Amino acid sequence: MRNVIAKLFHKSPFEALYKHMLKVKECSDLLKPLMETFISRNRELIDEQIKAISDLEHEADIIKDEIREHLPYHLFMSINRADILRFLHQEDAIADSAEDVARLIEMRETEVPSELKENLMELVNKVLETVDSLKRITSNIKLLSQSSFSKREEEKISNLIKDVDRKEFEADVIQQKATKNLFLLEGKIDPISVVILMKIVKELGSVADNAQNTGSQLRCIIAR
Amino acid sequence: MFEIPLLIVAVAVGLYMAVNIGANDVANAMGTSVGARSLSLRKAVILAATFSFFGALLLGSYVTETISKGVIDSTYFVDKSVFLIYGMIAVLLGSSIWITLATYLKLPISTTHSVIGALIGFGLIGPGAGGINWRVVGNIVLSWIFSPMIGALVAYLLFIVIKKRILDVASPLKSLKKEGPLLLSIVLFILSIAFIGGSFKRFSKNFTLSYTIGISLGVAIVGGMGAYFSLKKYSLNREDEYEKVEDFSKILQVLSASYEAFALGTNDVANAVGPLAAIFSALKTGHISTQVYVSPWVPALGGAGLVIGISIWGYRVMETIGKKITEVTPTRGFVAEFSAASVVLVCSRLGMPISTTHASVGAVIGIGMARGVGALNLRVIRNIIFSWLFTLPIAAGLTMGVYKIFIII
Repeated sequence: MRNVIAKLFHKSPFEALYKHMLKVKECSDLLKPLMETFISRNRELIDEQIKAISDLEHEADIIKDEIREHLPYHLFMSINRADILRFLHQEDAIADSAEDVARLIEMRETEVPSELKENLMELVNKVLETVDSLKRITSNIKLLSQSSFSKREEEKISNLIKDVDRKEFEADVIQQKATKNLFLLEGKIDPISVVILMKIVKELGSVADNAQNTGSQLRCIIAR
Repeated sequence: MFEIPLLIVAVAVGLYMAVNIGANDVANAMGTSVGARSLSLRKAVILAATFSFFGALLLGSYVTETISKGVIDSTYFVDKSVFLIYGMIAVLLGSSIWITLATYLKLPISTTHSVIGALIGFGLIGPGAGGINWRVVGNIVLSWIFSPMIGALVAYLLFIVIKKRILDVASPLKSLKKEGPLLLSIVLFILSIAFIGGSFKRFSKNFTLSYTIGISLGVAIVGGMGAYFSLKKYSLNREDEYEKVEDFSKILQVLSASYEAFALGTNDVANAVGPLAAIFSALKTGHISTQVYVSPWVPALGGAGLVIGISIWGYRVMETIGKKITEVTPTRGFVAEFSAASVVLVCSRLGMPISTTHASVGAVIGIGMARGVGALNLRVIRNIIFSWLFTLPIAAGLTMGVYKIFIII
C-alpha cells in the first residue's frame, strides 16, 4: 500500500490541548474542597484530597509530554510551534501551582484563624473562576481552527481573554485583602502559621496568575 | 512474426498495473472524502470506479499517446517493429516489478514516474540515447515539479476565497445562503465543461463549444437554484453554523470526488495502457507509423483494470486513509480535490503524465498555507523527492534487464 495522503495529515494538536486544559481544570477544581477540609481540619480527608490533586497534576504532565512528543519540527501547522509549547507550559503551570498549594497544606498542620476563613474561600472561588474562564476559551480553539482563523472567532476569543484578565485582577484584590487581614492577626497567631498561610495565599494567587499568562499566550497565538 | 503468449503477457501486465493504480492511487485521491465523512466507503468506491472508468475511456487517450509514442522516437523502429513490441513489454514488466516491490515496501512512489523511468530505460538500451525524445522527457519532468506547486496555489487561492466569503464573516450561514448557490453553480459549470466538453467531442463532431457551454450553463443554473431552495430552510442564529456550512460542503465534495476520480482516470490509465497502445498499433499496421490513433478500447481496458483494482483492494486503502485523516473537514476536502483534479485534468489534456497523488499532496499543502489544516507532516515531501530519485533509475534498470533477457531469448 503506497499511502501518501494519510501520512501527510498529522494529528492536530488542538484536541490534545483541550484534553490537557480539562485535566488542569479538574486538578485545580479540587482546591475548593481541599480548602474546606483545611479550614475544618479534617486530617484524614486532607491527605486523600492532596493525593488526588497530585495524581491529576501528574496526569496533566503526561498529556503535556505526549503533546510535546507529537510536535516534531517537520510539522507544518496553522499555529506556530513555539507558541503552542509556551502555551502548554503556562497551562501546565496552573496545575503545578495547584499542587504547590496542596503541598503547603500538607507540610504543616496549621489552624486557620476564623477571621481569615472567609477571605480564603473567597480567594479560592475567584481563582477557580479565573481557571474556568480560561477553560471556556480553550474549547473555542477548535472552532478557531475550523473557521481557519476567521476574524470573528479571533475576536470572540480575544474578548474571552479579557474576561480572564478581569477575574485575575479581582483575585489579586482579594489576595491583597487576605494578606492584609493576615498581618492584622500579628501577635495573635504563631509566626510560623503566618508564614505558611501567607505562602498559601500567594500560591493561590499564582494559580490565577498562571491562568492569566496562559490567556496572554493565547493572544500571541491568534495574533499571528 | 509475433508470439501470442507474449501478447497475453503484455495485456496481463498492463491490466495488473491498472489494478495496482486503482487499488492505491485512486484511494489516495478519494481519501479526503472518506476522511471527512462526506461519502460512505461504499459510495466512494462506486463513485471512484464509475468516474475513473469514464475518465479513462473519454479522455485517457492524450496521455496514452505521450507514453506510447511521445517519449520514444518511433522512427527507429520503422522496419523492426518487433523490437518495439519487446521493448514495450519490457517497459510494462520493468515498471510493474518496481511498483509491486515499492507497494510491498510501502514506498510512496508514483506509477507515472515508474513508467517514464522504464521508458527511458528502454530508450537507452534499444535505440540509444538519441532515440529518446528528450524534449518531451524534459517537459514531463517539469510538469512533475509544477503540478504539485500549481495544485498548492490553486487550492490556496480557492480556500482563501471561501474563507473570505463564507467562513470569515459575522454569520457564516447567512453568507452561505448567499454564496453557496453561486459556488455550487460555478463548480457544476466547470465539471460539466470538463465532462462534456472534453469527452463527447470524440464521438460526435456536432458537439460544438456552444453546445457544451449551453448544457453546462443549464446544469449550473438548475444546481444553483436547487441549492438556493435547500439552503433557504436553515434558520439563522444558531450555534452550529460552521457545521451547517460543512454539511453543504459535503454536497460539493461528492461532486469534487467524482471530478477527481474522473481526472485520475484520464491521466493514470495511460501508465498501464500506454505501452499496450504502442504494441497494438505496431501489430495492427505491421510497421510503425508516426501518427497512430489510440483506439478507444485500449483506455477502456485500462479503465476496467482501475475498476477491478478499486473494488478488490482500493476500498481497503480508502478505509485505512479515512480512519487516519479524520481531521479534514468537507470544505477542505472539497478544495483539495477540486484543485488537484483541475490540475490533473489540464495536464491530461496537454498529454502530460503526472502523479495524481502528488497533485493532491500539493493541494493539501496549499490549504495548510491558508491555515486550513491543523498539522501537516512535511516529511512526506522529502519522501516523495527520494522516491523520485530512486524510481527513475530503478525502473529504467529493471526494464533494461528485462529487455536484455527478451533479446537473448
